[in-house]
Amino acid sequence: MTLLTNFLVLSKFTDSNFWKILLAVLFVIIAFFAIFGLVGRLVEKIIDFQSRKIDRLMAPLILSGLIDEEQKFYTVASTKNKKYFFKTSLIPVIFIIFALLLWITYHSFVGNWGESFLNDTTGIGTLFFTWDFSNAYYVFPFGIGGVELKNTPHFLLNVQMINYFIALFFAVGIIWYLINVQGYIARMFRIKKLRETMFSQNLDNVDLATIFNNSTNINSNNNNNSNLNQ
Amino acid sequence: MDSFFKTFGKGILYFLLLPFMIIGLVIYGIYLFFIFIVYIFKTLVYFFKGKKFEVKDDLDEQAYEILKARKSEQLATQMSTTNTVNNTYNTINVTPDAFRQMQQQQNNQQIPQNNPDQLNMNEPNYIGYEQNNETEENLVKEDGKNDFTY
Repeated sequence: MTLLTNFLVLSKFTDSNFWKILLAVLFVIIAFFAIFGLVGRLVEKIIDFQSRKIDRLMAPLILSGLIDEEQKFYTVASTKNKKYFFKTSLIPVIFIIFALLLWITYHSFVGNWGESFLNDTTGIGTLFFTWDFSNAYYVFPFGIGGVELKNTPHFLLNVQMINYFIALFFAVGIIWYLINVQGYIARMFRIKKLRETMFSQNLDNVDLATIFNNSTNINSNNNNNSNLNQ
Repeated sequence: MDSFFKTFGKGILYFLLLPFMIIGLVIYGIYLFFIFIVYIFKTLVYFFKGKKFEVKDDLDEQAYEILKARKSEQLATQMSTTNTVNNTYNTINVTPDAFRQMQQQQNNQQIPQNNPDQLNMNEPNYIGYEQNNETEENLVKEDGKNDFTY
């Protein structure tokens, strides 16, 4: 029996379809990670864009000379960061609160507190394809069987369609709020970086030889050996 | 090709770190929600004091006043200075090759030749302009050594 199983497995490897399927799966895996990398780079660019806001908020204070200490810069910048986060998060929090109020009001009228606004019979799941994996089994080499289609996309036309609006407001509010949280974290990293670069007493990037020469050579005749305008 | 491998590598890294990043984001979101509630109370206090809650505060007002004063000072100094011509004398050492290139460029440029019949004798300093028009050719010495001092 073991010999027969081994023979069946080996015969799969000699089948040309097996290698075609393997190649296709490898391509899908590589494309998946490459797309993930591209999405990650996009998120990096968004984080860089969000972090520049703190430069615009702190620039007048730095240019006017009111802030010239590292700790003061950090304190003021952190406070501004929190205030900016609060100001930009008002609308998404209002969306979430509205979704919550709508959910409470709807269930108070209907009386069915166990009803979900996410599932595929009473909620937003009715708008998507869903499958039942409870009887699923594995098929060699890359297959899966016993999967049943549970729901095809359709609209609810009764009072339960309020669940669509609850899900919509809740999702928009949560995603918007999390984007603002990401912006806050990005600005905190930027504040730490600016704190180190602007107020650090690091002499790595300072050419001491030039400073020394310029301070001692008082009577130097600076000839303007520039090219003629052509 | 390098950038593709870099992107691919970053994709694997982000895929592995994604659960931790989401958990970190959610934890920070909960912490910032408490900050949000604190600032709601601060907004209410500001409201009852008659002030408006803004990102910019008194320190920003001071900064803008300082920058405005600085800018108006700069404008005032620019308006008050008169146009003066500073004759700066620079010693420019020109090699023979550079001088020949210069001559070729001047020959290639189409310099409009003034027709004497069309010249306006009433132009101020016309005679002065013609007399003082010393070109590089006039300054070339016979021995070929050139020392241009402007």
